[in-house]
Amino acid sequence: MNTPILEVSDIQKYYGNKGNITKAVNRISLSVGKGEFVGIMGASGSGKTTLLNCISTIDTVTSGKILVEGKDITTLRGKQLSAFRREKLGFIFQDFNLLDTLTAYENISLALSISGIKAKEIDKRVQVIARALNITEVLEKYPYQMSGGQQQRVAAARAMVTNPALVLADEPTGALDSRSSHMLLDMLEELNQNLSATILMVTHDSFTASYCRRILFIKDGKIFNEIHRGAKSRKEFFEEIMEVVSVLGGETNDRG
Amino acid sequence: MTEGKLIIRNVRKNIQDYMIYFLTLTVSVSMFYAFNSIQTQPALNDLDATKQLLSDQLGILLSALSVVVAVVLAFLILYANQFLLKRRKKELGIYTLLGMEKGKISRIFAGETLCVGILSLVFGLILGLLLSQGLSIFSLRLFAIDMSKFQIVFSMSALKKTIGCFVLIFLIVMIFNVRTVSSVKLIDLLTASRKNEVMALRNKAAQISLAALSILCIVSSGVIIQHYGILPSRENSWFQIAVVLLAAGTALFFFSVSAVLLTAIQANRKIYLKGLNTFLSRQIGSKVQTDFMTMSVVCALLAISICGISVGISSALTMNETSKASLPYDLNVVADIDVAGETDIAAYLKSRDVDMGIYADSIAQISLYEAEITYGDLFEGQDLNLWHIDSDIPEVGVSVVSISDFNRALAAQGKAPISLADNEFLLNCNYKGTLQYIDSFLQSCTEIDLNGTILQPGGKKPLGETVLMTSVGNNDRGTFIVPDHAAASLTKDINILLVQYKPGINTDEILQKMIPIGLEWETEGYRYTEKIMLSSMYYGSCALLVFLCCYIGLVFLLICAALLSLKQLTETADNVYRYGLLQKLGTDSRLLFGALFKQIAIFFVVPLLLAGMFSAFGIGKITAIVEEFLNMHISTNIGVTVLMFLIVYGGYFIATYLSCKHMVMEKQIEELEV
Repeated sequence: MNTPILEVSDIQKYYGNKGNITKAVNRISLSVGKGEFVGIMGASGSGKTTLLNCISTIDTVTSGKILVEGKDITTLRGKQLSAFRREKLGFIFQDFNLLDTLTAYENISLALSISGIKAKEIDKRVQVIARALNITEVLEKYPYQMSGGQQQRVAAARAMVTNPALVLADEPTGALDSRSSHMLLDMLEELNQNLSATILMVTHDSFTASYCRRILFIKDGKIFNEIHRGAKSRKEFFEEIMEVVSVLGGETNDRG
Repeated sequence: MTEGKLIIRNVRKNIQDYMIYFLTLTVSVSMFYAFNSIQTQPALNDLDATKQLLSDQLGILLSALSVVVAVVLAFLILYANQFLLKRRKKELGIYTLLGMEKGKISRIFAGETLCVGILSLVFGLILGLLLSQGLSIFSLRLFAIDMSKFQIVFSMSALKKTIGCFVLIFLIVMIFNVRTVSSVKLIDLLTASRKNEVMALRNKAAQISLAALSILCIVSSGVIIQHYGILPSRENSWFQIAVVLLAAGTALFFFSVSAVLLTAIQANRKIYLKGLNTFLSRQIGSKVQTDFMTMSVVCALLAISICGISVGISSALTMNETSKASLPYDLNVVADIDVAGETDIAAYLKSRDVDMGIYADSIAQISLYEAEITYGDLFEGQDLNLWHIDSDIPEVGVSVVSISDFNRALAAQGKAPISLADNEFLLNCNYKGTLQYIDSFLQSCTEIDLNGTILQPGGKKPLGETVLMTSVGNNDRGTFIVPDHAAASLTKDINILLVQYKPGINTDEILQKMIPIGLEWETEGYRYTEKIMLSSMYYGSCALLVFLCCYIGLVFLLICAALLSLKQLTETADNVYRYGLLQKLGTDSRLLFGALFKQIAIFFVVPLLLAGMFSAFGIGKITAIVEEFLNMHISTNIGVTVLMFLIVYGGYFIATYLSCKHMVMEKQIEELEV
């Protein structure tokens, strides 16, 4: 593994008050290197979304440190926090979260214009990312005029266009049919390989997870297992994931 | 859970949403009560002349106006109610989904409305009572009436009217709610928060031509009003055409101008892609277009409000100021020489059964002459900017009074006489509209030729006395005071009888006898002005009209501010997830709240700007009519209007921004806690 982009060391997240504490994240440590495509799997309530929220600074940790490019982000406040989000992170949400008053182009350019980038530069970068994600022809359309797959690709373009250190994807295929899921995941894999984007994806779906290079399994707020794809084909990797999932006792998925 | 419990719990749970509704209702109730209690205001009621006016014509006017106010308030309340309903559509949907009967849901909502309605009616009436006392003090001050007359009034009729009216409005609201609840589809209720806004007008050529058409409509209506006046006429319907054009123009303007501006901004990538401008212009663009009717109504109400307050306050201030100095006699009787001939006015009055021997403490008869020199001659070479009602004055001959008559007038006022050399003249002027020209005439004048008599100025400053009592504010535009021999050679214009009453006499009795004489002035040539009648007329009927102007202005202003505020709160409530998303993308909170501020500011300022333009035009026109009616010049005073707008409109604006900001921040915290 090369230099780590993300280092999570010994974080905990508790909910509730004295006498009634839920440990959503219980002493998790992990590390993600540059250009990795890491999946986090776990059943509902295992703490995977809480973990992602802590990394994305949407939520705060109870204890522990999260380093992004060597900088502790758990102590960031106010302006630094928003600067961190727009410069270092890219988000892909389950329900796309595009602004429906804006066109696809404007949704993507917004991520750049809030960082104060010049109009000329914005146009160039939007066109480049649109070509890479094959959405050039829908740029002038509004979200409600596009299919779900197109919307999610626009959302991915928005996440990628700022060249973030880390792309966080929260169940990105959750609202897509299997064909669109397939396309989106191919695209994420491509982004990872060609543009060497670092992607951290949370999912409960084994098929989606099988696109990752490495998978961390979480159960009851702790890391339960870790598997690498290595030289295995995606199909073989999927079988391996299914095995772990059955041990975990989570839901199964017979697609593949 | 019983229905009653559910109702109370719902009201308490939604206290913040209901707060806006509650405040709107309370303010409406209190304004309505205060408006209807005007008739029992002691300040206005104690004036003799107003009593009669109030009983007939103004009574009709007041009830007509209260109907208008009630309709506007009903509109506002329905609007506020819609806001409430919109915010709670999801809750409604869940009740339905759980299988609650529609009738029961309707009852719950009706119960909630009733609950808030009764509360706000009670609070509104208490506030209204306080407000009407405040108005009472304000009007006493404004019209310079003795403060000792102030007393706390409670108007039973206003109370009954208010309760009756609002019970009716609540009933309408309830019916409206029940209908909404029972006719709405479940799917719409559950997905109500995420509806797309579609731009209706996307063709550039259509945008520009519509915008041009709207401006054309507004301008042509302005031209029509400029040409045919601002009052409706029986002979033609130009006024109605102008109003329709103006209304259509305004609506079209709001419909198209946002699209035009949006296209223009979009064309400039540098601005469009800077910060949150993309987001902001889309938000505004799509909303102005869907809400152009509301914006037009707000604009119209604001224009009425600005005109009402400005004209009202200006007239009040002018009247208040000018009336103090200009009523030095109890009674003036003016005899026009052309009609009445050279007579002893007191003798004539005695022949008409008005024996001044009984009533008068002192009387004096003086004469005014008309010189061949006109005011135009006096003002020659000066850069004239005369008031509208004085436009004929340059052709009129200057008034002349002899020094002994002038001193007699001063003596009647209890003032010391002045002296004048045999070859000198003085000028008297107390009329603001001509004072500066008279003043500069005196500065440069070396001598005048009065029918062959050469006179030099006896002073460089005009005197500021009142020779003749006319309607308030309409006084001496400039009168030569000359030696008696110089006056004798001129044509006599009028004789004037100056009367001071004996203390304690019945002035009404004199007035009753004078009225028929005054009515025959065209044949007999006698006109009169009476101090009590003048002040009653001005403090009474005019003051009341002024008061109504201000009041209507204030009501409309409040309604506009409340309407815009509600509108922005609704929008923010609907869009709160968008702001949340922007935050997740890493938007600086300064940038984010900056955008929110700009958005609210635009919605508050744009209709105000257009209304300001309309009123700048309208105030001049209305003032001219009031001037003609009151026969005096009104100096436009917009200071008070601006102050009032800053307080009321600005206050609502800031409150709206703060609550919207609160809403967005609350959402942020909520997300952190999930």
